Amino acid sequence: MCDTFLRMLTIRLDSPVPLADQLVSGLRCAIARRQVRTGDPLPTVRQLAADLGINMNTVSRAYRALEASGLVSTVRGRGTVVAAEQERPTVDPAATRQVLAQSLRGVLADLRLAGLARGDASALVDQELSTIWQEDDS
Amino acid sequence: MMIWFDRLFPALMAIMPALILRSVPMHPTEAADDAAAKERRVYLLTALALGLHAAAMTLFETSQAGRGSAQAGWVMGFSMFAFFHLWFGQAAPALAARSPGWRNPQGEAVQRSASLAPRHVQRASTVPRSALLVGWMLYGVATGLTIWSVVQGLHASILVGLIWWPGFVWGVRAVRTEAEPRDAAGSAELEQAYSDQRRFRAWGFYWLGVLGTAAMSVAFVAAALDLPGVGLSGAIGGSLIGLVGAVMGTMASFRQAKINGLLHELDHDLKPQGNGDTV
Repeated sequence: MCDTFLRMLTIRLDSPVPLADQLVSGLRCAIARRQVRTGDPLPTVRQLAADLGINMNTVSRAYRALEASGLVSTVRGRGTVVAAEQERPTVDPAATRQVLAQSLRGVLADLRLAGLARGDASALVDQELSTIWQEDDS
Repeated sequence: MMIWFDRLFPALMAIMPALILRSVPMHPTEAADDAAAKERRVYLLTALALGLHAAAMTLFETSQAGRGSAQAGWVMGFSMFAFFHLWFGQAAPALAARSPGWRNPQGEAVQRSASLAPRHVQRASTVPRSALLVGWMLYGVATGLTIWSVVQGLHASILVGLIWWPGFVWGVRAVRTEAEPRDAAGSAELEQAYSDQRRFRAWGFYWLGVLGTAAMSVAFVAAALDLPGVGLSGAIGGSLIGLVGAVMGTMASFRQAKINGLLHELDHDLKPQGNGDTV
């Protein structure tokens, strides 16, 4: 799930994915797409909760999860800011790569099971790749 | 003059919800029959409230016994009761049925979007620090004058004077964390509408705070000096500030309804996953 567009974060209440996980996913996506950069302040917990009509604890939980991965940090007087555009390096990069490959295989399997031909799947993956790496290429 | 105020003020308060309801264009969000039924109930209860008030006034004026505190109690109590019941209890649901703009935009939406732009660091749409500083300086002067007027022996309600300005400063700040639900595609028109609304409300709070502080300090000083006509001037000034607040609040509600209507339209025009950015 990667529901960000022009610095907008979208969640779905009818999704089986918990709201806090949707927020984490959306914010990770915004950071990956360079829609928010290192040092950029994020909305306050109160603002995001009010705008989405959800509980403040849900937003706090999402921010804490992102803080644990090193992507955001809470600065006194400035609120929550983007701390890095890459996650904190793990102890075992090979294991991380393996987990990512497994996730990718899952997504590719979904594409095939959805009936997409290899060419169409490849085009879709290319399209998504270009949205994520768009800023870096330019 | 007081007799006309007693007759007219509660009647105006009672009739206001129906007038506001009538002024909103009809875009039924429920079955048209339900919307019409809710609207009819507002008009019927308004007529009932007006009849009740007319009967009470007739009774007070013919019996003579009720003049004074009982009549004043009726005017204030009935005005509040009739208005709050007719507005929140009857007209608000009828308005929601009449137009999507008057519904809670997040009420039924399963897909919700928010901007990642932090409003607490965007001061452009609110009151600048320099203007707030002017207000705080005025508050300092007003506080000094209020204390002086108390020292002169005036038993004024100084608490209102002391909390008035800080209360409105809190209002200016709170404007930034009001809910601003957005469409998934990030409409620039909606963003501008929210920005304008934020500015309107923040400056509204600011000017009500400044004018109220200034008016109260003048009133306290005038009362302490025992100037002629101070009671009437204070009553008129206080009523005018209340009226300005009511007009601004009503305008803000209409503006918000317009924004909610725009969001409703954008959400319904939105093609699911149409921008290719959602998976």
